[in-house]
Amino acid sequence: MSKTMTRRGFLRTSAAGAALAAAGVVGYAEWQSGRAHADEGSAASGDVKRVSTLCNGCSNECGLWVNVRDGVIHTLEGNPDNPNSGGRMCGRGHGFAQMTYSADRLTQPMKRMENGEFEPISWDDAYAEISEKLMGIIEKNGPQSFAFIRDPRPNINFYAPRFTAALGSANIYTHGAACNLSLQSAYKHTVGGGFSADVENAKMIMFIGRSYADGITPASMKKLAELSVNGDAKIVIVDPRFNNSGHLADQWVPIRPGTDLAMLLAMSHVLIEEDLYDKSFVNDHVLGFYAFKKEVEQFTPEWASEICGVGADTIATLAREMAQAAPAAVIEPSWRAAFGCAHQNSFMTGRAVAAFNALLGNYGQKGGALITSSPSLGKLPASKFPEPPAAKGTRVGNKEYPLAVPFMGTNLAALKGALDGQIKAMFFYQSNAAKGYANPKVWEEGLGKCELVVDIDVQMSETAMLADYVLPECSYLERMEAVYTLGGKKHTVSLRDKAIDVIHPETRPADQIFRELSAACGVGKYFDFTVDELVEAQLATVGLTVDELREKGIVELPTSDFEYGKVPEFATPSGKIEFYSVTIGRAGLSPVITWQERKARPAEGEFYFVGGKQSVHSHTMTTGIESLMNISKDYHLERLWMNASDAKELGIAEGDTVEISSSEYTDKIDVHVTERLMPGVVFCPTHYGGSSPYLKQGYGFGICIPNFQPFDMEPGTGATMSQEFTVSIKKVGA
Amino acid sequence: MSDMRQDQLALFSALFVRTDEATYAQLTAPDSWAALAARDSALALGQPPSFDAYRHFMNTMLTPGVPGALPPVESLYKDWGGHRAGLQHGQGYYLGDAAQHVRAVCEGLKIQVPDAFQAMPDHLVLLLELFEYLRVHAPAQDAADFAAHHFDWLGTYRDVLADRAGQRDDAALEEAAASYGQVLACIEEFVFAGVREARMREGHSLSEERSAEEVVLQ
Repeated sequence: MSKTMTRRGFLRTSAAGAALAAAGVVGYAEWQSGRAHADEGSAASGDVKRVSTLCNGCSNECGLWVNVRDGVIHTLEGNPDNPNSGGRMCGRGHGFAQMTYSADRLTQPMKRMENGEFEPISWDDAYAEISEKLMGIIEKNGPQSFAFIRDPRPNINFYAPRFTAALGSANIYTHGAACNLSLQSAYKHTVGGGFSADVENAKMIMFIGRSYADGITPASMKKLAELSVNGDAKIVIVDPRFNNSGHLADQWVPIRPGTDLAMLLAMSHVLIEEDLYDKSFVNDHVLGFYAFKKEVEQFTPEWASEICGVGADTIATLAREMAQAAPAAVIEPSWRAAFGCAHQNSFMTGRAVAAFNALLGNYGQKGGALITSSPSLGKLPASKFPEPPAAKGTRVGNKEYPLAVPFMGTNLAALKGALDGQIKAMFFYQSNAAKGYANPKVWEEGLGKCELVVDIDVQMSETAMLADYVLPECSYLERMEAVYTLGGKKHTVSLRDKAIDVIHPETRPADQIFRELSAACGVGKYFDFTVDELVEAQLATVGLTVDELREKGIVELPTSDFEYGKVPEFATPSGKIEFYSVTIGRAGLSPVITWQERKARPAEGEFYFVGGKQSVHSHTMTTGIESLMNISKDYHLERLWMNASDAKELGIAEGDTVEISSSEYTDKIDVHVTERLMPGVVFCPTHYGGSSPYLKQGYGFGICIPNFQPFDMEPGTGATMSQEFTVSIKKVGA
Repeated sequence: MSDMRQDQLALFSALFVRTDEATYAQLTAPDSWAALAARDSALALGQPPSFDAYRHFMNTMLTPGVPGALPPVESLYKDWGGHRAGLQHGQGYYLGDAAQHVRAVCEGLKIQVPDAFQAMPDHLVLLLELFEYLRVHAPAQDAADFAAHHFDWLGTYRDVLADRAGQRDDAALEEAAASYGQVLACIEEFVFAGVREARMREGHSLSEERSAEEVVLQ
C-alpha cells in the first residue's frame, strides 16, 4: 500500500538534531515544573498583558480589564471607571468568557446538506454560494424579500444596517420584539424616549417586575444595595413573585400578572382626586392631562384591586407615599420583565408608568426620572466610508405595527413575512430567534419556507441549526468592534478590543465577514475598510485616538448637558409628555392612556404564568457554559414555583413532578413550593429546556417557555406577548 | 518509520481528519484495512465503514461545533489546566495543558504546527505524528513519556463516542462508532508497539509477558 499511497502528513518536521533538541522538552512533569516557575516569575514581575474591553455576557457592555498570560485569558476584572460595571463583574461575565475555549464553539463555516447534516465549507465557497443565492432571490423577488435580525452589539449595529441597506432592503430588525419593545415604544410615544431612574438619590422607588438582582448590571445592583443599606429611601417591588431584589426592598406588593396597568391607573386616580400631583409641572409639560383625568375618574383603587389583587388601601397608600417623596420618587422604567414584551397591554402599561412619573413632576429631578442624551460620533469621511443609499421600500411590519421604535422594528413581522412568502432570505447575527423570540415551531416553519437562511454566531444555536449556512464568528475576546458610546449623566466612549489572537483560524470577526460577503454580493464599496480604520475614524470625530482609549479603557466626553433640576426636552410631536397621543390614536389604540385587559385569563383551575431571568444566565445564550449550568443544576434552578396553598390544594409537595399544559404544549417539570409567589400564579425561569439531546449542558433540564406561547403579536408594536397564556398543572402519577 | 507503521498512520489520519471519497476508498481497501491491526495485536476488525457511513460519522460525531460532536482533541477530555484561573478543573475546553505541552514540545523540536490545528495541536492525528517522530528521532524514554501523557485519554474517548452514538437512535452511527472504537484500540496498540520498538532499539530487554501499558508507564 505504501508504495502507491501518499500519506497526508500534518506536522512539518526536520530530523536534523532532533534527538538533541528533544532532550528536556518532552517530559510532561519537567514542562509543568518549568512553567510553574515561569508563572511565579511573571506574576512577581507583573508580566501580564492587560487589555481593556467590553463584556459580552449580556447586552450591558460592561467595561473589563482582561489579564492575558502567555497569550491565554487568565483573569477578568471590572473596569472601575465604567458606568455599567463600576469595577465589578457578574457571574455571567466570568462564565461567558469560558466560551472562548469551549468545545461547543463553531470552528469553521458550515453548510447544511440535503440530508440535513452540516458539513464544513470553505469561506470562499460559502461566500460564493450565499451571494449567488441571495442576489438571485433579490433579483427575482426584490430587495424587500431579504431580512436581517440581530442582537444589537457595537459592531453589528454598524455593519448589519449598512449591509441590509446596501442590498436595498429596509428589513433590518433587532431582537427587541422579544425584549423591551413594548415599553421602549411606549416611552418614545409618551416622553420622547427612554428614561432612567436616579436610584442613588431616590427617597422612594418602585420596581414593577424588574429585579436588578436577577438581571444584573453590577453598577445598578450596587446602587440599589447602597440605597437599601445606607439610605432612608423606601424600596417597593411590585411583582407576583418575591424576586431576589426583594431582599433589599421595604415592601413586596404581589400583583396578578399583566394587571400592573390597573394599579398604575388607580394610583394616578389617587394623585389627581386627592390633588397630590405636581400641577405646575403638568400644566407646563403635559399634553392631554384633562382627557386623562376624566379617563381615570373611573379607575378607583377599589376597581383596580378587583383586577390586580392588590388591596385598595395599599394602592392608595403607595400613591400618597410616592407623592410625599416626590420629586425624589420614581417608578423605575423596567426592561423585559413585566411589560417589556409580555402582554397585550404592555405598551399601555409603559405609557401609564411614564404618566405617573409625570404626575410626580420628577423628570430631570434628583431622585426622579432622568432623560439624558447620548453622545454622537461625528460623520465619517464619505470618501473612505461611503453610505449606501436608503432603501426605497418600507420595512415589513412598519405598516401593521407603526408604534414599534424604529431602531428595533418587530422581527416577528419578518417571521410572518417568511410564513406568507414575502420574505425569502433571512440572516441572523447572534440572535437565537428560533428558541426565544416566539413559539419555536412557528420559527421552524417560517425558516423552513425561506430559500436562504444564514446565521453568524459563535456557537451552534437552535437558530443556527435551522440555517442553510452557519458562519462562525470568533469570540468577543478575539475581536475588535466599532466604538461603543454610552449616554447618561456622563457621556463616554469605550471599545470592545481584541485581548487574544484568534484561536480557531477558520473563525472570523463580523466586520471581516461583512467586508468579504458584501464584496461577493457586489456591494463591497460600502465596506472597503478594516475595523481598525473604522474605529480610528470614529474616534477622530471626537478628538480621540485608539491608543488613548486603550490606555484608559473608557473616556468621558465633554458633551453631556445633563443638569439636575432642569426639565428635559421631550422628543414627542408636541414637545410635551403625551397623555393623549394622536400618533397612537392613528395606530388604532386609545389615544388617551386608559385601561386595557390582558388577553389570556385563567379559566377555573388554571394559573397565570410568569417567566423571568436568573442572575447566572442571559436568556439561552449562556446555557452552554458548564460552570453556569452547574450553578443551575446544583441549586435546582429550573423548577416551577408554586404557592404553598395552591400546592396543598393539588396535593403537590416540594420536588414533585407535575405536568404543565398550555393551549400549545405540555411538558413535565419539578415543583418548588414557596410562599414567595402569590396564589394563582406559577413562575418558571426562561433559560432552560434545551431541545437537542446533543447539547449536553441543557438537554433534559427544565422546560422551554416559548413552547407554551401561542404565536401572537401586541397591537401597535408587534411585541411577542411572551406571557399571554395560562397553564393547567397536574401532579404526575396522581 | 516502517512502511507498515506509515500505512497505519495514514489510515488513522483519514479516519479522524476529513478526507475525500477516492482517498478514503484507497485507504480502506481490504488489504489496507487489514494492515490497521498492529502486528502483535489480536484485535479483530470488522469491515471498514462505507464512505457514506464515514461521512455521516464525521459530520455528526467529529465535526467541531456540531451539537454533541466529540472532536478527537486531547484537551477536551482532560482538566483544562492547574495553573490558570477559572477553568483549571473544567473539561471540554480547547488549548488546555495538554495542548500547551504539545506546543512546547513542537517549539523545542522546531516543528511547525499547521495553521488549521493552531487551536488543537493535541488533535489525535497530530499526537500520533509527533509520537512517531519522537519514536524515531528521540530517546525511547521521551517517546514513552509522551505516550504516557498524551494517549491516556483514548479509553475515555472510546467510551464517550460509543455512549454518544448510542443516544442517537441511529443504527448506522452506532455501527460506525463500533468501528471507530476498534480503530482507537488499534491506535493504542500502535502506540504501545511503538514504545516497545523504541526501547528494544536501545537495547532494553523486554519480557514478552509484560503488558504494553507497563512499558509505556515505565
